[in-house]
Amino acid sequence: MIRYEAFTLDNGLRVIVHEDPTVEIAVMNILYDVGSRDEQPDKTGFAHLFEHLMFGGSANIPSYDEPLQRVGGESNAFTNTDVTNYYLTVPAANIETGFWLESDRMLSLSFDPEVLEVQRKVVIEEFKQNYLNQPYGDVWLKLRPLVYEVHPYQWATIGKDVSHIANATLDQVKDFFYRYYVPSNAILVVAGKVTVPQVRSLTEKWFGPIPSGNPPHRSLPSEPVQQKAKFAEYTADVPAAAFYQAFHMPGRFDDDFYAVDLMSDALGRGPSSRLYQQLVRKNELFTSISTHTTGSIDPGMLVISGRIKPGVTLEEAHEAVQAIVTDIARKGLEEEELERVKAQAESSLEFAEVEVLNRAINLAFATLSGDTSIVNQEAERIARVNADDIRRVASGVLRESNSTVMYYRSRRAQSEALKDAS
Amino acid sequence: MLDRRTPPAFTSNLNFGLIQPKVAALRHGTPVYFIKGGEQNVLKIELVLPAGRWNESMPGVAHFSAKLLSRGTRSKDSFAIASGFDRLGAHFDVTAGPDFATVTLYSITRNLAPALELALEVLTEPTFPEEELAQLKSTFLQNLKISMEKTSYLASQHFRKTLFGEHHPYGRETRPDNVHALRRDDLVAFHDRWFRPMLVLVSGKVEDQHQQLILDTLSQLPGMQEPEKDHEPQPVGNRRGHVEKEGSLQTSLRIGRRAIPRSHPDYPALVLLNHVLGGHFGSRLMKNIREEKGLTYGIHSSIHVMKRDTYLLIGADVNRENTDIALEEVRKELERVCSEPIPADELEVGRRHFIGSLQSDLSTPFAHADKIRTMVLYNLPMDHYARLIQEIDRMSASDLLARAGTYFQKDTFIEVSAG
Repeated sequence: MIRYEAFTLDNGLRVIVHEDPTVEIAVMNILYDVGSRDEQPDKTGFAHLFEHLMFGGSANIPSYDEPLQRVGGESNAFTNTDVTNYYLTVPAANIETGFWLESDRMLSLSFDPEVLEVQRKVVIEEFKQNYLNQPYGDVWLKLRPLVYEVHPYQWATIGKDVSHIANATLDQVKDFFYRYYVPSNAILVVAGKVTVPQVRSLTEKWFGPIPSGNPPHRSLPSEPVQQKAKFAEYTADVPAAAFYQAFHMPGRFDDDFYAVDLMSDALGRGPSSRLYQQLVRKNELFTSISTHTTGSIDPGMLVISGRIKPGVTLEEAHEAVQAIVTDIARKGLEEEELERVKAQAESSLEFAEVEVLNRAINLAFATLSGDTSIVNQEAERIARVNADDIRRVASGVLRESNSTVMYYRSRRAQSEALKDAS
Repeated sequence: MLDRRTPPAFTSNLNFGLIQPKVAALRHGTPVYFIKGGEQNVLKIELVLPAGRWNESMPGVAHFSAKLLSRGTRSKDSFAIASGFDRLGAHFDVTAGPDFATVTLYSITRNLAPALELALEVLTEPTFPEEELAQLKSTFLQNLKISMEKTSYLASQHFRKTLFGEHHPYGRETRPDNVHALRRDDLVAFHDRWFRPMLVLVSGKVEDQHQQLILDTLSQLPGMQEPEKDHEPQPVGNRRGHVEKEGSLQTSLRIGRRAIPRSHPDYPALVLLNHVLGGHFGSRLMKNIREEKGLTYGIHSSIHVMKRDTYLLIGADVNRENTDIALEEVRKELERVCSEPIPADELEVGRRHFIGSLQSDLSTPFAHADKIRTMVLYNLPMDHYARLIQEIDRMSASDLLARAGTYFQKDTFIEVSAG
């Protein structure tokens, strides 16, 4: 149970306060309601590049990090398809430094062209380090556009291509800022060793004077229901072949989200799951296999991914996965299986809330749904899922016409197999 | 009008509010630390055992013993064990590090008794099934092939080998032929000899009834009996090394040298110098190589502490053609740390950030347990961190300059690249 109080400033900034006097720190989390789904198809990777620029100095403060480090604080941020989220931690007595820094960069950035030039290079190195110079690193760059035909989830948050980042201009940066980085498009959470009156007065002082701006209007194309199974294959210089299968599923705030998430767990979370037991342990077709859900706000993906054992073909492996998927699509889960994944999910929730920063991020994200109180309903919603719910979502999500399969062939494994045969 | 140019007033304190642990012992004398904190109904139990790579008879034994442990007991197969923990909302894991193996059990408080019972069964009655060993081997071999495709892995391996020698537990790698040679009997023997807890830490919402249950249950484990092995590092002569990796877009750099243990009087100086050089986002290496030149996504310098040795390591991934510039800049920064006093303001920021982040670490009971674990395992006094903060607070630029030459001479650093 996370206790909190909420209020909204005149300029539209939503504020949540979570008091936790048992820690010595205060944390501040600001979520901006903008992610890579809000980008133009020819300017992808921008929301994330922008996150880097937010650390390059603001209207009145030349350096963001240094004053924070000076008071013993630390900060970081992440961008995903839906949101850009910034957070900082300071010894509780110095929380006002956080207000000063965060309100100034919400007011305006410095828009220093030099900062753009350097961060552009840094992000390109990040692109290479995590997506291009890693075995299997480009899987998401290939899978997303296959699964999504019209929705902007078809590109990864890092961007479609390095060239989009290389071509970003300072004018685009300014437009992006004034469009999305306004109080009415943000959610501020302050948590830890703070009090509600203290946060209220600091928020009024530092964020109150920021002009409200116009909340951006979002109108994204919705992905049509998939009518036919999709398939693609690639060959790459990787040591082992890999298998991927994605299914469209409801978004994070949909009533059926938890049922699908639990079904995904039963299918492929850890060594007790069906896919692992059948395909790694019993039939030895894969060396690893697991599932996860993307948990995005617009309809997301349930993804199965696995690495194939040497000597096994992707076709055999695919057929074996399909048999298990079809079985669940037809019959749902065993009662015992459902109870097991529910116990896992409830425990994961409890453990995630040990860290005060996680509580703050959860509060911000729940507020984004329009109802902060859902943050305390997750356990109950998981507990309520029953076998009928699972059967209903299983037949909808796991149908073959909703599936996208991608084979990631290994050039090396193929040539080794040829050598063995000759 | 609000003054947005002047930073708000701030304070700095030197507190290190570590939760006072309650100390007890298992039947054979192994110390147990109970660290009570947090609001959530969860517990973490951590057992530290001398079953790391240090004591293994051949490469891979420690890792495979750790991973195979929960794959079968006299009455349960691997599925029954995994689903047993899952049904309880518990999580059980065993990992083998360079010096120790660590068994971790996470449990919600209401299921502690059955989770602990299952953990005890896994620890005391493992059967190390042959077919599970074969599967683990094939997964390991495949993962090894994938790692060999990563320049970061190749560079780190080569660096450790250069520093400690290819036969030393800190320097050697587990090669495919080691894996093929592993027999079930090796694992059984290793388990018999080394799976004996030397330290137990319990953190979270620990109530009195949990304490007794934990003490009674874990007292059924065998106690320590043997002295640990001895190994001497045999550094390789070459100070520079390169691992060629065809087709890579980036080069991974690993630059470092052996250093001093936490108990050494110069350790606080080493820590602060490292922090200023490359230990945080505002460090010199980050500012120069990422924030000014944009050569990398990240460059960090860190102190790696093992039980019997310590090393300093600077690591980064850079564009292939920028390898030489990046290396040259790292050397320049090392030289600057040794030859110029750190300007007062830079030192103050580094110092405050170091102290603040150490204090902020303590935001969960599990984090408190980690600090206590370090102090106990490395035979440090229980006020180690409090004293470290005091010393960092009063260290001057001239104190640092006087010590920098001993630890940061660029000619004493090994330089490894892969790409």
